[in-house]
Amino acid sequence: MGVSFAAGKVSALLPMGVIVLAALLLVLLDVLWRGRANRRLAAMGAVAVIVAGIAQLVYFPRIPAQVFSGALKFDGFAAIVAFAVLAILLLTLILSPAHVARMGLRGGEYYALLFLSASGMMLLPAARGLVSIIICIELVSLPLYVLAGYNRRLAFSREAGFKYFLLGAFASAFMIYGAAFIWGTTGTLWLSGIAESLPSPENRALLLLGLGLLLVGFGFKTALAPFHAWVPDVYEGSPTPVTAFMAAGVKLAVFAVFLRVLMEGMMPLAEFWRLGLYVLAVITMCLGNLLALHQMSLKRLLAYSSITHAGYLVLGLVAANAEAISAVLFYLLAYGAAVIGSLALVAAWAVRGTDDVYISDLRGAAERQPMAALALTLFMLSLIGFPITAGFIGKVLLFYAAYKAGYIALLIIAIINTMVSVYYYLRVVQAMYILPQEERAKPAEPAKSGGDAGGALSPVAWPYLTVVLVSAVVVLVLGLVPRSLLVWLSIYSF
Amino acid sequence: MNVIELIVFFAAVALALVGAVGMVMSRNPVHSALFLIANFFALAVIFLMLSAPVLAALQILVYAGAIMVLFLFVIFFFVQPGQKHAYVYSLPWQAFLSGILVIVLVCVLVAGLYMGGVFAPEEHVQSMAVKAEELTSPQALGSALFSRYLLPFELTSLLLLAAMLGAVVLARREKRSNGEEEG
Repeated sequence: MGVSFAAGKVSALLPMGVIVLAALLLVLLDVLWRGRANRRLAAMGAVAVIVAGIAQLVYFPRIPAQVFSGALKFDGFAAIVAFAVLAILLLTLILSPAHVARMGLRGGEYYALLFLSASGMMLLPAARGLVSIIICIELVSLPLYVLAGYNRRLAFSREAGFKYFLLGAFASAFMIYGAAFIWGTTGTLWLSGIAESLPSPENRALLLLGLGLLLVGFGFKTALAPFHAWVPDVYEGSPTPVTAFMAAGVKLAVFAVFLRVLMEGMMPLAEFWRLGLYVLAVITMCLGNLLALHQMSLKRLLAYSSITHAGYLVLGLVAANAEAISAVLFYLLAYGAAVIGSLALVAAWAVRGTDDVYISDLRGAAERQPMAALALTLFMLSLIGFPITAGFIGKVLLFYAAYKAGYIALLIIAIINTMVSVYYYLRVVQAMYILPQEERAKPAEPAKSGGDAGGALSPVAWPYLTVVLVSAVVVLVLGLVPRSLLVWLSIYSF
Repeated sequence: MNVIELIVFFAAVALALVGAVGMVMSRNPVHSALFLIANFFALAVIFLMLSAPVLAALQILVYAGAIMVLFLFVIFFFVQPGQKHAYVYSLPWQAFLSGILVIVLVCVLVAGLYMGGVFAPEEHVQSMAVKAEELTSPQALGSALFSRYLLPFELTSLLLLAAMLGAVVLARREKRSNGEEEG
């Protein structure tokens, strides 16, 4: 037996290889430029991302390609996720240099860590064995633990990094134990192998235990409700571009692989995980919404909204039919665009002492910065699921998948929750458009909060503006012409 | 088991125990690390006696070699000269709890060995020898590592790179915040 793969197959690995190489190069360049080349590093990174994107387009796997003796199967689904990850990475790179400079973060490892995390995200949806999946999830998370705590001036950020690390390690332990039980009962860790070699129904106790542990692990990583406690603190404490990267990217990659694990490896056990996920979905949606109602900080509000959206996405997992695959992916992309856009505005307005924006700070924003206020309104509407935005189409697709699978009660709970969520998203809009602007000093801040503590909201600088514009265009295009994406999603589901 | 084998075995066991106890008891982290090396070497001898040469070699190469160097580096990075362990983080009832955990661990190990048939060697000796050969032969290990598990194996190197970068970031942070306080 030998290890042989034809060159034609390895080409599927090229985009991910470019990203890994870029990470190594960035480490090197950071040393050569003595840690003072924040913008140049980001520009180099952006070039690498574009090269990887072109490679991804050129070598689009129309026919699924297996690499590493079947450990990776690149198909259209994986390629679309990888493409979206590249886009998210590019937007984060545009956001980062300005924010890094304003927050006074130092060290080019920031970019290398982003790239390493992104490489894990690109591999995740292609991975075929539980070992590879768990290692990929680690590869996604480990750099993010460090990035979450990167703003060491802020106690919030240090706390975020530490909390994320501890709970992430906890979640990994759950997943590894789950995989061990699954291996013990089926003798294999390959997704296709698990479905084929299930033990007889009366001997399934240990297998179900393994499945449950795996679900808990995924629950932690995707922020489902009883396992969501880390999300608000981590989202609030991390540097805002990192929060955007986490919210859009991690959610995309982990949900994609979650869907795959369930639908390719565990379909014969569907009655069990459907029940578990059903309960998780209900708790997640309700709790996320209730806790979001009274958040004052925009980042915390988006964190709770991210929990709620994870709850909606679980609807697609519960449905687990052909419609659900493209619906979940569409929803993830729509959510990602809206959340990156709103976090870009948070980053643009954030002050150095907190790296956050409070809803009270937004008062009068509509008069001073009408375009930015309009964009934020658009993102909030998309997160609600208002027509003409991408969020609406995403919700319709997702709810239709759940309806087709026959989960009417779950569907009704989701719709009620959507109605509730209107309240807190519109609170942001109301602050910008309706509430009068109070003439008052900034809330108590450390004295060293730098030069940008002057007016109410600092004007939006061009890097942030670019990201906001791109996100707004994506939200509108996906909302008005959803077929542009849906065609691809329906051809290349798995 | 002949006499020489017995002598070597007990010497290895004694060294392993001394290493383990010394590692836990010594208050200087560098001494702890060195005791751990002694423990690793003794374990390697025991693996060798169990005719598992690959494990023995890996034990010395990877654990006693690479990982210990890493440990020592980390200690030199973070521990001030002359700093001693301070046992301020002990939990209430720690000794009691650890005793219970040790008992549980021993029970599980014995039960596992019993169910695996180690205590009735005459029944299983043939099949177990074959299985041990499969598990520990360099060929089986190598072909599994470089065919089925090549991807996780390679990804782990990326993971370690990420961890290393993270460690650099975190370590530098301590230094810089000190510098800031001075400035």
